[in-house]
Amino acid sequence: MVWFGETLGVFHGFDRILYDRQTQYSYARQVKSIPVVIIEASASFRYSGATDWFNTIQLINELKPRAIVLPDQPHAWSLSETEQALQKFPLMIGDTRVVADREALPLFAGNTILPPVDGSGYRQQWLMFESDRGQGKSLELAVAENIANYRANSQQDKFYIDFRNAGGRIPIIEMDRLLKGELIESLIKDSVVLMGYVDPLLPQLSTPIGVISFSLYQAHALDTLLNSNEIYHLNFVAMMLVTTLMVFVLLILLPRISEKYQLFSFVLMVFLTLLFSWFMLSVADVWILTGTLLITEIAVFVMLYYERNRQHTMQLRKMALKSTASVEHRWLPQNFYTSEEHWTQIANMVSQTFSLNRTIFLERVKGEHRVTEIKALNCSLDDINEMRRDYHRKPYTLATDTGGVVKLDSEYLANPDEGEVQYLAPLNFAGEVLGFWALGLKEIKPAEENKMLYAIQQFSMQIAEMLYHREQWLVHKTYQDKPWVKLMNLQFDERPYASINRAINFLSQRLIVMESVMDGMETSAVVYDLFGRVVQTNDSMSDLLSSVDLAPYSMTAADLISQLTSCNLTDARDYLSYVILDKGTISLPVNYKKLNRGYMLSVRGLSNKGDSVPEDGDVRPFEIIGILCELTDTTHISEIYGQKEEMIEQLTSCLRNDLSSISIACDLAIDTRSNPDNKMKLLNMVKDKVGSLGSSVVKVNEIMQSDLVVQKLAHYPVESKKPLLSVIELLKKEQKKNVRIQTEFPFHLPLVLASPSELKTTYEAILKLLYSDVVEDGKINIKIIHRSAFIEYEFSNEGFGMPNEQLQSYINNEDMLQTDEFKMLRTIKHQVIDWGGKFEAYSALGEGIKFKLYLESFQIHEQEK
Amino acid sequence: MNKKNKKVLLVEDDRSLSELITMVLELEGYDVAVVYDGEQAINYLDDNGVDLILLDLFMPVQDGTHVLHWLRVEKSMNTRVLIITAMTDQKTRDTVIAAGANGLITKPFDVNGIIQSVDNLLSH
Repeated sequence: MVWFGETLGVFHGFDRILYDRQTQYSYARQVKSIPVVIIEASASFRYSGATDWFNTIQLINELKPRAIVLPDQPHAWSLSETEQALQKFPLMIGDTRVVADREALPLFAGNTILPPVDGSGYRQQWLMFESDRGQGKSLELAVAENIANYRANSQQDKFYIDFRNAGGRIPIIEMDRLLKGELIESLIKDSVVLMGYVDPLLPQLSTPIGVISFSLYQAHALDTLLNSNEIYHLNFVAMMLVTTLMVFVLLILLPRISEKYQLFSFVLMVFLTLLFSWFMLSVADVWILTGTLLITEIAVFVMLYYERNRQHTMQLRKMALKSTASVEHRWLPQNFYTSEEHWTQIANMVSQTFSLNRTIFLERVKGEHRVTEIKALNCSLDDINEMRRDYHRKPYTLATDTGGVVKLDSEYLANPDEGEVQYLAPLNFAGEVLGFWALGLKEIKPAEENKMLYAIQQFSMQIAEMLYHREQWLVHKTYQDKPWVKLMNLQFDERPYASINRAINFLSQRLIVMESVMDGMETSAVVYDLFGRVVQTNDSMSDLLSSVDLAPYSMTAADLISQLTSCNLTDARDYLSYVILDKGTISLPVNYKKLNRGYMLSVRGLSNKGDSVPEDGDVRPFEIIGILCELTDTTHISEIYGQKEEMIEQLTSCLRNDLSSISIACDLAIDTRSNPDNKMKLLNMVKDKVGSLGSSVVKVNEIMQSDLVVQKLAHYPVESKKPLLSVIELLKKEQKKNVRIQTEFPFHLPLVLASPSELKTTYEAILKLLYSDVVEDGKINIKIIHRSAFIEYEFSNEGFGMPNEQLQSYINNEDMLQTDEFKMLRTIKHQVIDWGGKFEAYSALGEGIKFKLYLESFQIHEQEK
Repeated sequence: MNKKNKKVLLVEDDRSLSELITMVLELEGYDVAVVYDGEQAINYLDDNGVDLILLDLFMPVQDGTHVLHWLRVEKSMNTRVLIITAMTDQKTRDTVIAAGANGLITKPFDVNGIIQSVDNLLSH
């Protein structure tokens, strides 16, 4: 491009400007061995007589110049007079006549010729020139050859005049001063005197030093040649080589410079180029065609900048295509969002949720002004006036500008029912309005309207996302058979930024959903990567571990396992090795003292499903992408299955009793000291006990068969003291008043018939109420008495109490409005009755409240009375 | 040891077992009184002295630990107490010994077992 431009001379204008400026400001110390002086005469002097001319030349000659140069032959001189003058004086006369039919006269040293035009100015002078007469020599060259032995290069026909430091370099002396004898010899001696004229008819030439007369121009040309100060310009070939070299150097250097420093580097480069060029002009008398060089530098910089941007854009497009394709492949279920059935379901669902009279989902078709129908219920697109289907107009613009649901004042869906109000909601996804949702419903109360509008807004966001997926899937399907069209459209129609933005929005939403799922899990979970760093943890795990002063982020998976299960670190690492290498799952009981509940710790590896290729630098050894540690709360299950253990224990006690009886009876039966009348009684006793043993085992076995977790039995032998102790413990921890809790419990209690899961709730409700009533520094008493067939639980407090009738009505009367605590007591009353027990309450104002709970004790076999 | 002078109070809620233990002890020559729960035991001991109490732990109304507490703490009585219980765990053993029981025999036991335990306690 640069070569082309240089060949056509496109850059010459710029180059000349730079040349002129640098010439003006150049600092050169030129050789000045032969000075040039102009003696300037008026225009009329040209036409003076021959004698005047002789006398003038004589006067000049007396000052001993090296040569006297006349740009042309004086008009008054004849040939012989001219010859005479040439013999007498060191005179050199220029020939201004360049005509084809005139013979070259030996009187003239050279031709006085206008300099060649260089753009819009003059910077050069001829050395040799071609004319109809053949090749001619300029006066300046002739003078230089004669005076300074200057020898021009045969290849060169012109030269660049040295205008550097031009100010005052060529003295101009008025003819009058010469004629008056005012000139001193030193001014003229050994210099070359050029005769010049002040003549408005003579051309004024535009030069790097401004507009000057032809005489001065000629003088500078003479001065340049006489002192060998011509300025050399690089020729075309040299210029091509230099620019080529520069391009290579820039292409190597610039890409290595960081982007943020590139502009600075470029400016520095330009400055250095100008500096170098000035230096070369000032010192080496060489002009390096700086304009072309600068153009080259700019061209390379722009080209690199453009290329870099192009590559960035390509990379972005590639990333966008890849990520959106990956997202769509993973998350976009084909056909799901586009099926008629799906949209029908959505329409039905929203219709039922909001009790809509009618609803219609509209799509905004790109490239058109109108909306089209996706799905409608109890209405259709025809119900919308054709004039109102343009989404660039109201009410669509109103909905879009508002960004939310708008109530339509005027009729939108035709033939509304009486009392029907209509709303329009934009379906907005990732900042783009994809469609609209219009609905009509019966007018609702203003107090409920805000809530409903908020719900509609939430729904519209979800529906917008579905609409987006639908669009994407349709685009995908349309272009599936035309890969080249698909490629072009994806490349040229959608800016990569918009595509990335959508993918990011979509991923963000999915991430939020996934995080919500994880946080909503009942099990506490933490995911570690293979290097022991936490990748993700849910709220449940964070809260649980922080409550026991464990920080998952400051420990590895092995540390966590070791801490929670109280195994040593070596064992923990062995477990992890098993999980990673053998892809196994381990389950360990949690044995951490600060945890008050029972947990099971499960550890397993999360493996790559294999449908995504790891990115460069993404390390996934053993195909494991993480280690999942889950804490499952087994307290409830432990408690429930603990009931069975209690029953076994009671059965054991019973069996031991019976075996004791059998053993003693047998011994007594064979003891000779025993009364023979008792022997039959003893044998019958043994028989009864054996039978009782058997039936006890059978009875317990039947009860043990039931699945407590699944069946949620309301009537089961349960241990009653432990849950009560647990509730008391909780109450003590949470209490805000200073209250003493006094207990009187038997050492051992039989099992009672109750619901395993509700008994604790029963205690909680009773104690909560007593606690709310108790006075500061008061007491809550809990007493358990083991009656034969019942266990009696007495709960009382030192509290404010209430009239007993009021308490009774709260507990017994369903219609009375009261606090949740009393409602709970009513529930408890019914529950206890279901269990076969009894619930009593008593209160007195100023004394407190007393509750008595009677629960049927579980008898494995009937006690003898 | 003259067993005829020794009075034993049996506190056991299982009627069959208490009858059998009574027969065994009476055959040995002991004078046996029987009550069926802790409350009855306290009432009896309030008015009567005994040489040995055979005390079941797991009883209605008031259990054996309550009776033991009443004996040792409230009444500061040194009457020998032999616990008879079906509970074999160490915690129970430690609790009753700490509460002042002189011995413990776990069910099931046979005639020799009960006689030996009673004789041992009464002979010291």
